[in-house]
Amino acid sequence: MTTKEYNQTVELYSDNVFRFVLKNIRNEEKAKDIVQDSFEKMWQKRDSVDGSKAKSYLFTTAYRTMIDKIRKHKKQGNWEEVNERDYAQSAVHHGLSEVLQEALSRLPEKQRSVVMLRDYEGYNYEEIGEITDLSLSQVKVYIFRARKALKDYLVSIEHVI
Amino acid sequence: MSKVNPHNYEAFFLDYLEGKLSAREKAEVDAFLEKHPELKAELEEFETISLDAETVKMPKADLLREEETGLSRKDYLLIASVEGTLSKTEKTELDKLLEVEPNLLDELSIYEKTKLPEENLAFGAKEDLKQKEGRVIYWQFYAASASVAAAILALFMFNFNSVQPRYEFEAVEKSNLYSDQTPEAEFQYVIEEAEKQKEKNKTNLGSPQAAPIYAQASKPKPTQKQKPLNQEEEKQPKEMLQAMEQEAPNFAEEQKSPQPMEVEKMKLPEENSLAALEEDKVISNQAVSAKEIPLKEYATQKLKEEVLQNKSVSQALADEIAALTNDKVNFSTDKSDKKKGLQFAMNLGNFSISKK
Repeated sequence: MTTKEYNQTVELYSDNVFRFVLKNIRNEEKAKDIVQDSFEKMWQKRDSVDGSKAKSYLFTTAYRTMIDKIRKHKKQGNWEEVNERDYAQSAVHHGLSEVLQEALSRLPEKQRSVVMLRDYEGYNYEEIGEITDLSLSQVKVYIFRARKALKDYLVSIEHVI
Repeated sequence: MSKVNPHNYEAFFLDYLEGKLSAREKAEVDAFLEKHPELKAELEEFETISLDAETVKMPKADLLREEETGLSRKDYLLIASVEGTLSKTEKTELDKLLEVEPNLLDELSIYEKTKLPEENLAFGAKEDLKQKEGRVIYWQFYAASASVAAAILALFMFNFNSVQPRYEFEAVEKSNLYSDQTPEAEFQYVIEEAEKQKEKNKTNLGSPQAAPIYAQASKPKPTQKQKPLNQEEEKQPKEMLQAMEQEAPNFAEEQKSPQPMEVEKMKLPEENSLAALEEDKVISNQAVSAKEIPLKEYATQKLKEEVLQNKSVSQALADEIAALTNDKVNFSTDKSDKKKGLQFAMNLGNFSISKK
C-alpha cells in the first residue's frame, strides 16, 4: 500500500469507521482513539496491506481494537453502563430514525456490528464474516435476529411508527 | 330448561340453531317468535355468525421454525425478502403466504424500515491521519525523538569537553573558559584562535626568540577542570609532536603560498612514519616552532574529518538526529547579536526547540 493509497483510505473511509465505532460504543473521544489506533496499525502494516482491500482491513482492525477496548473497560469499570446514561434518550421520539437508532443501541454488540456493516457499508455476509471473525452462518443468524429485534422494537406499544 | 321468555331467548336461539332443542322446546321457540316477530331478525344474525371450518386455519408459517436462524418461518421469509437472500422456492412460498395473509405486507414494510438509513458522521481529525512526509508521527514518537535529540546533543557536548585536554593547545584550553557555551561556539572559538596563531607565527617565523607554543604543549599545566590523563592520553601530545615534525617541510612550503584549502589536503601521518621519526630524534627548535600552526590545523582538521566529517557542528548534529529518527532535521545558529549571545533553533519534523 502506497502513501497515496493510505491517504485516500483516510479520505474515503475514516468517517465510515468513525460512525461504525461511535455507534457501537457511543463515546466520541474513545471512538476517535480507536479510529486513530486503527489507522496507525494500518500504516505500520502498510507493506503487507493490499491497497484494494484497505477498507476491509481497516474495518477488521477497528472492530478488533474496539472489542479489545470494550473488554478491557468492562473489566476495569462498566463502560457500557456509563455511556448508556450519557446517551440515554428520552422516551419521546420524533421519528423513525431516532427510534431506529435507539433500537440499534439496544442490540447485543455482535448483532449491532453486523447490521451496521451490512446497512451502512454494504458488505455481504462473507465480508462481514471476515471482519468480525464469524462464520457465514453466524453472520446470517445475527443479522436475521437483529432485524427481528429492530422490527419488534419499532412496533412495540411505546414506539408505534 | 324453563320456558322461553324475553329474558332467556338468546340461549334458546343458540340451542335452536345448533339443533340441541327437543321437539317440544323447538315448538315453544316457534310460538315465542310468533308472539315476538321483531326477534326473528336476531335469530337470523345468530345464523350468520356460525363459524366456517375453512376460515380458521392456523397459519403454519407462524409456528414453523426456520432451522438456521431459529426464527418463525414467516419472519424468516420476510427478513430474507428484505435482505434479498430469498431463493426461488422461498420466494414462491412467501408469495403464497402473502396471498393467504395479506396483512403480512404491513409487516414486510416494517421490516423494510429496519434498514439503517444513511447517516453522515464526520471524523474531525482526518487531516491528522494523513501522511505529509510519508510517515505518521504520533506524540509517543515525538517524545522519543526529543529524547534522542537531547541525548545526541549531550553526547556532542561531552565529546567536546573530553577532546579539549587531549589536544592540549592553547585555544582549546582557553575555550574551557567558555564551557557554558554551546559546542559550536567552543569549536568556532578554537578555529578563530588557530587563525590568530597562524597569523602570529607568520610574523615570528625564523625568529629564535619566539616562544614556541610547543613548549607549552610539552609541559601542560592542567587547569582545575582538567582531569589526569590516562596512559594512552599522555602519549597523545607526543604523537602530535611527531606529526608536527613530519608536517614541518610542508609548512615551509605553505608559508610561500598560503592557501587555506591546502590544509584540507593535508594527510595525517601514518603510524609507521611516526615511529621512524621517533627513531631519528632530530628536532630543531626552529622546526618545532614552525610546526605549531600545522598542529592546530591538524587538530582542527582531525576534528572536522573524523568527528564532523567535514561538516559544520550543527550540520553534523542535524544529520546524526536525522539518521536516527529518519526525519527532517534543521539546526541553525545565529551569533549576530553578541549581546544576546548564541541563538539556536532545532526542528525535528514538527518538533522544535530553540534558544533566544
